[in-house]
Amino acid sequence: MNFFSAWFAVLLGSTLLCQAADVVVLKNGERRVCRIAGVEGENLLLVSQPVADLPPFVLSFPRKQTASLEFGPDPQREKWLREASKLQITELRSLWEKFAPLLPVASSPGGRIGLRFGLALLEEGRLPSSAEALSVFSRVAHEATDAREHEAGIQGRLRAWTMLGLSAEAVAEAEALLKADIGACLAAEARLVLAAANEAALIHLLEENPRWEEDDNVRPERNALYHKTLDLFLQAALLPGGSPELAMRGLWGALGIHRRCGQLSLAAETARDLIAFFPGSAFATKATLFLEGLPSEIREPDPRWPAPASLDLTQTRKSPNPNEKKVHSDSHKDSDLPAAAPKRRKRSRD
Amino acid sequence: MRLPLFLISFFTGLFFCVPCVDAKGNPRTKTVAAEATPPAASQPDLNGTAEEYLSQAARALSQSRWKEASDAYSAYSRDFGGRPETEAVAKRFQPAFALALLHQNRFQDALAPLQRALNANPPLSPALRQELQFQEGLCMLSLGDYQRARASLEQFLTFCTAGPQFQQAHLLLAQTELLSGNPAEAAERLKASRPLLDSFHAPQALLQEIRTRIEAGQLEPALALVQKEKLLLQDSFEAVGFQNTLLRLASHLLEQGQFRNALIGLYQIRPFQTILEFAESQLLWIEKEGAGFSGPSAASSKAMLKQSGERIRLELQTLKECGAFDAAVLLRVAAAYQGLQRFREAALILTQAIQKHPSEPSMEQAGISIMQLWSELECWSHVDAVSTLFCATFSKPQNLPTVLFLKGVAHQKERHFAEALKTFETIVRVYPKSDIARRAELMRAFTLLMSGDANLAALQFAGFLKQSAKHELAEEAAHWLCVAYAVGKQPEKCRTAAAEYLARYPDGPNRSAVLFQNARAAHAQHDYALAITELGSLLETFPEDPKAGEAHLLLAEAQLATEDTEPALTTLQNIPTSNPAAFEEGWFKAAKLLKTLGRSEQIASHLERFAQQRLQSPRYSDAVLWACKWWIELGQSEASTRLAWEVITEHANDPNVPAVESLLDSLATLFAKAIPAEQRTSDLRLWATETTAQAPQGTAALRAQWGLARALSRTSPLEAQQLLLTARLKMQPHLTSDRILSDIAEACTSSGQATQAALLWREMLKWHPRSVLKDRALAALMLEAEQSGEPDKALQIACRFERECADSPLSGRVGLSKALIQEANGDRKEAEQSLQSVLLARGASGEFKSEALLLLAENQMQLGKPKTAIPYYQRVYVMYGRWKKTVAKAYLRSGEAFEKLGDKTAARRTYREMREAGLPAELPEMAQADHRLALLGEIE
Repeated sequence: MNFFSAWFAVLLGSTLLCQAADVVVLKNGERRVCRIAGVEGENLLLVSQPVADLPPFVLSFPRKQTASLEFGPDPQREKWLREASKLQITELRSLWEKFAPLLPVASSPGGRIGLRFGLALLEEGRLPSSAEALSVFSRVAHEATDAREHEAGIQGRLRAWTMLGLSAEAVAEAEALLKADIGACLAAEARLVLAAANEAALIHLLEENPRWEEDDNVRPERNALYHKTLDLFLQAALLPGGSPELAMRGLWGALGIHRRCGQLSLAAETARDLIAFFPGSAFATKATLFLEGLPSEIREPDPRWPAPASLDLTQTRKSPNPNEKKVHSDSHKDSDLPAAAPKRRKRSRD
Repeated sequence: MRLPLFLISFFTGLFFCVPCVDAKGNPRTKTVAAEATPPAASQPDLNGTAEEYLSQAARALSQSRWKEASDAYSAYSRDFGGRPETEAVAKRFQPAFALALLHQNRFQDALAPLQRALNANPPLSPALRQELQFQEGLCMLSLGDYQRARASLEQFLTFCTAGPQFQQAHLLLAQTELLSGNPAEAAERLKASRPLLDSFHAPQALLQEIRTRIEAGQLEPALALVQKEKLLLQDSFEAVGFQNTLLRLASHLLEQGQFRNALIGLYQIRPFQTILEFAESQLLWIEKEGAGFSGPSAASSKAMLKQSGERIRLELQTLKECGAFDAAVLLRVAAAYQGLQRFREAALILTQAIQKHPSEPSMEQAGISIMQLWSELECWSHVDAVSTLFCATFSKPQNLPTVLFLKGVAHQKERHFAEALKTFETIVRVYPKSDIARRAELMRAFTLLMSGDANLAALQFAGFLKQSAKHELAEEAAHWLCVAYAVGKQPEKCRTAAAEYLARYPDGPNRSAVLFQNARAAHAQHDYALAITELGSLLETFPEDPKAGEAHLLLAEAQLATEDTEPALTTLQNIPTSNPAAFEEGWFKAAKLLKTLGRSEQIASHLERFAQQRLQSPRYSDAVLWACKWWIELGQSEASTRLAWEVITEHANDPNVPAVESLLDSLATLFAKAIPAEQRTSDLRLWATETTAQAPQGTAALRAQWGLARALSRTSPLEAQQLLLTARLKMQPHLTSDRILSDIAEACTSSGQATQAALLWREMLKWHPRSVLKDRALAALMLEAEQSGEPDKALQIACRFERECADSPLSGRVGLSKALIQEANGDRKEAEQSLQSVLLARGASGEFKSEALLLLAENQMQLGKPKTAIPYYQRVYVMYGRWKKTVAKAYLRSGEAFEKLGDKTAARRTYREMREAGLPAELPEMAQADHRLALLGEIE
């Protein structure tokens, strides 16, 4: 036993053994149960509580003396992470700085911390925060060993790119992702990115060609864009395995396309989907407002299809992806409703 | 598994875990009878004293030898029962006796000792009595006496207010209702009980309530319960059962046509793998936790956990019995969307189902459904893509012919006739005996007809009829055969085919169409009398036929051919308005006929009436102009002016009446003789002033100003330009005609406002995509891009021009500019292609074609190929002599090319020819030619 391991053994008294769940394996093969509080410089931060009645303290231990680390569950930290928002951004940043170097360690909480921190940064909605979020998500995507965290990192990166207006990068990555075998949530996010890009192209085309129906040269392009955009939004919303948040964004996107293209009945149907599938959500509220603004003959549901039961809970499908929480609801804050279809104009006289 | 069966097994499980009494009369909660096998109820063959019996029973009880214990008690009762001295002893062992019998599932036998114990006087201890009451309820339930079971359990609940048996009694009470065939009552009982139950039993009760409500047909309350309480179930021991229940609920909702409600349920369902992982983690937890229980309530807790584990396994088994659970869910989701007429959603879901579960037997049919759904949405490219996916997914698909057929139809709809024909031919070749092959044959013929090969189509239709005369589509084929012959200009065959059709299908759905083709063929054969008879008959029999308009026109033509002009006029005037195109055509033909008949006065009023009645017609302005001309021809220029100005002033503010622009534009030519130019200009000036005074920014003011500018364009071009520039401020591009927009744009260009002009051209393209002035807009925009140093943008516009304005007279100018940009970009090959395109362009004038030739020749010269360049030069002066400058250049360069080749004779000949070609002497090329001649030794 060298000096460090002896010192380590003394400091991590037996009282700790019954509380802690992490394990530090020393180079000599010894296993020490403790609680790892992150990394600072070249040292591991370990929480020590030799005497039960006294408060715990943090001590540093050279990382080069360790062979490997094993992380156990920390329900308290996980709960805090789940509930953390942009209000805890300072604490999240501090935690991230301590755990980011441990990302490559299997079962490290670094990935989860990074994802929550990234989402909190995106929630701030500022460009510098989004840029920081991009670097955080990128690091998680590159270094996290857990497959789900890796995918969630990529998902976050797509969102950060979108928030930063770097849609070309997001589109390129999304296209590449959809060719690979990826999880449902990441696939849905990628489809949303592509749908948004196609939607932008469709909007541009419609603005430039308000009478596209009369133009044989534009009509095929418009139809192709319309179908592609709608399919992507709906695939993100409907295909199984995604999260409620992604599904809501997908449905809202589809509603916007229907509305922009003057298909109010389909838009109303999609609004009813949102209200029925995600009652109580912000999207359901927006969908209700949209329905209320429609002419009564469209607003009233078709009697052949009975109205869904009136329900009031928001929780539905549970996402398997940790990168899912109230993020993109903000992305629509600028517009409460999707853009309306341009007013029907007179036909060309030629 | 069906619901009642499940409930029985579920409650049987409950029964096995309920506490019993031990030999000493103390309550116990151990599940004991699960492994017991029910023995035959027979009398024991024992012999002994009362004490021996009792000690034997006690021993057997302590060692869980239930039969031996019950036999001992039975023997005691047989040998010593009914005696006053044994009555007290007998009372004491009745609970134990009942217990031993219950452990053997001898419920009927257990009833008597149970009731004796419950009726004991003095009563037994409350705890024992409570236990026995509970057991009696269970016993009755097992015996199928649900009413007495209910009474017993209700009795039990009067003195038990907590504990595991209290929880279970509530569930069992619901069970008695359900087994009595009262699921609604069971659901209400469960609803009332749930608030009283603990966290272990509440999810069970909730799941049971949902299931009983489904059983009772209360689907909407069941769904509401799912939505409201799902969080309670999703992470409980009932989670797996919940997933099964959701699928069942959704299936019921689908059956009832409650599609969106079905979707609500279906979207709560988790993927199978997630459920499996969750269930396995729960089973692991149960095993781990169960092993760790100790203390007085351990047995009870263990039993409850064990029971939960069994339920989870049972539900998992049910889940697995569904086959591919995820596929089942996806198919139901798709069905629900299809029910909602949401074909896109259904198709997307089914595509996912095929991709994820290709081996499922129903997926092939799903593939067909997807193609049908996309066809419904007219997304033909999607249909094609799905057919590819289908062929890639299924190695030996049974439905391949159908898939190919749908693919062929998609190609046909997209007007990809070659691909469609190839697909239909494949079907016919590979599956010759199938019904789909017959349909493919018909579609092949129809595709040929659509692609313009009517004669080959007729051959195919005839072939189909020969081979499949009794096919359900034979009538259609016979009809289309007539059409094909008619389109292929084979009237004789058309009439034969029509006769066959009419003989074979006297009441066929396409009879009127065939009669029309028959009459048309007679007309084509110049048998006008026959055509008149047949068309008259057709119109009498089918006055509302969609072809009635065409039939009227054809009838009028036949009547005119036989010089029956009056009937022809009547026919033309009787065309129903239901077919606007034929009606308007007839109206104008009637006008011509009136002219032929020399009824000039009638023509003008006839056309004027049209103008009054058909304001929205695309031929409205034609009618007005014609009418005006006729009034002038009749010497009634005042009537003509009145009509023209009436139309102009009446519709001046309506941007949707383009006749106003047409009339304003035609005023000069229309009234050139009748009204002096100054008067016309003065009238327009006055109108412009009036309209501007009324509404300075109105459409009428804009039109008036534009009309005035048009009138002044020759006499006062500067004033005209100024008028157009000021008119720009009144303009709303989306409401302004393309003529006005383009004139203002050109005025902007002329006055050096290039940016403004470009903006207007863009607006014109935006709001008038089918304008005949599109070529001007694109050419101007290309020039603007070129001049502002944006060659790529200019090339892009040039490509669009080539695509959309192929026959424009500006195509030469645009093509040449494009070639020059490409040349400047170093794309010599592309530049050459562009120049070749200019030479082929029908609309391009000789000026640009000659320049293109010159440039092509210059390219060859630069490549050091004078021999190749010479023919280009020669083409210029042979074909385009009108453009002297170009011709002079071509001669000079041609001579130089000969010189390069060392052919001085030819060079001299060329220069001489040039001098004699009548080219202006002041052209610099002339002096250069003289100089070259001098150098070559020919001195003038």
